[in-house]
Amino acid sequence: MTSIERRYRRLILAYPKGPRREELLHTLLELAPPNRRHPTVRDVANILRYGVRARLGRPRSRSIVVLATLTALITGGFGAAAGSLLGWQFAPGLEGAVDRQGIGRTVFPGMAVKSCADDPADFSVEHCAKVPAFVWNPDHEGKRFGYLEYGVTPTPATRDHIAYTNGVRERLIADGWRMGSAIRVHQGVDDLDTSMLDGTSVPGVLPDFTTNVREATFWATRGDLVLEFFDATGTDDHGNPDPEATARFTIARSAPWWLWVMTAAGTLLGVPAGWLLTGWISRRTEVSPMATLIAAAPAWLVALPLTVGVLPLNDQVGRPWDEGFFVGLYAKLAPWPDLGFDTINPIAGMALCALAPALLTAVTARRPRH
Amino acid sequence: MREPTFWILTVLASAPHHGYGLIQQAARLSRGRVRLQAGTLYAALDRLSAEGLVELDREEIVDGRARRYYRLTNHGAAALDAEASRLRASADAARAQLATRTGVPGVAPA
Repeated sequence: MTSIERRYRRLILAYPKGPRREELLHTLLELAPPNRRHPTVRDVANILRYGVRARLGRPRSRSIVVLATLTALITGGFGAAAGSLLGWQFAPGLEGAVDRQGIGRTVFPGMAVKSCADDPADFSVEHCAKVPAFVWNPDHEGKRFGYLEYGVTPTPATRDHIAYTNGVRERLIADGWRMGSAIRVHQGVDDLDTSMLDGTSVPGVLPDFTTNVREATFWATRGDLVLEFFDATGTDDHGNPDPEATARFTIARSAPWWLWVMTAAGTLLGVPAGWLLTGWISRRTEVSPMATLIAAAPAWLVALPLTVGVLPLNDQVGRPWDEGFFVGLYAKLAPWPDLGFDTINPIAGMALCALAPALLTAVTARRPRH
Repeated sequence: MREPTFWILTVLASAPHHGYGLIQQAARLSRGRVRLQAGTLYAALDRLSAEGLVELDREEIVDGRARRYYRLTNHGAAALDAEASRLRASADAARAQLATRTGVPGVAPA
């Protein structure tokens, strides 16, 4: 076998199994001048383009190309989600990071910094010992990166929330932290249905009302950590002078670089998998209009909603954008117990429901003749 | 009808051809203007087969390699004839328009 034949043989693998591969190979070899050692760029592009198309069968159909494209986008989205969730299994732990890096001393110098390990009553303890990759937002609306919380008993200094927050900001910058946001200040004008400063919601349409709450917050990042600082005074209970004063910070992971690689790898596996699966089902059901209908109707029904649903759109207000991206990916595979889906993710469930009849039909269909 | 399709049907109008022969003939008949790529050719043959314009004629083994010959169907011949008539009508219309063009350097009336 000559080198050019070997290379053409690799190239024609773009086509589905069948006599067309050999037929194409022989035509390519007959067309190639005697001194050619490598396929031309034009050959490669042409064979890949039409080989990938040939995998779908139904040469007259344009709709199969649209359906395969949407399916590839959907499986690419699920592949990204699977890759990122796998990657999170290897994410470094948060436990002990604050002590090791002396972050408590930087944020609250000279003060006794407590965490959930010291005072479970004051902090969320459900993930104190081992922080999962994703946890509920404080208001149980959606998820966020797992975090640990640290705080101090409020003092007159911390109650001067603007000045103290500015001081924290300066100390963190001097310690190598990069500010992710400007200091945002809550002036006591509250939306009834929002938690803007927690980053868990967006402004609502209900009328505003004024409370005594005043809060300043910002986030910063250093290495693979994200720090959020909160300093609040006042109360929205007019009978009580200042019960909600708090000075605290949270530490969460930022996505490590290799998580992006695993997410990209998941996408790169998912996209061709969706295309090939669509092609296999399409070719298997090609000879039977009834099989085509059973396979294609559910797929078309959910193709667009799934394409939109699989996009990792999850705006985490006031926090790093990549957190929204990865929380969005997580939401494509994890259950949604807050909406009653305790065991299965509704997006993945919808995809499986559409895929099941197509797979069943394809498996039981007669093998097409070439 | 796209140009590669037109030339594939044109080549097959006289006799069945295999892929390589079809590409060569298309280049010869079009005076080198149409150089079909192998992938483009077989995609077009698949589509034309599905439309009933061409069909498999026979398979031969040449130098240990299987060659598949394709032929034009009657439906394909009718489609080619209709396309040729359309092209002729278009060309005639263009020529008639050019013939009315007088006094323009480089263009002689028919």
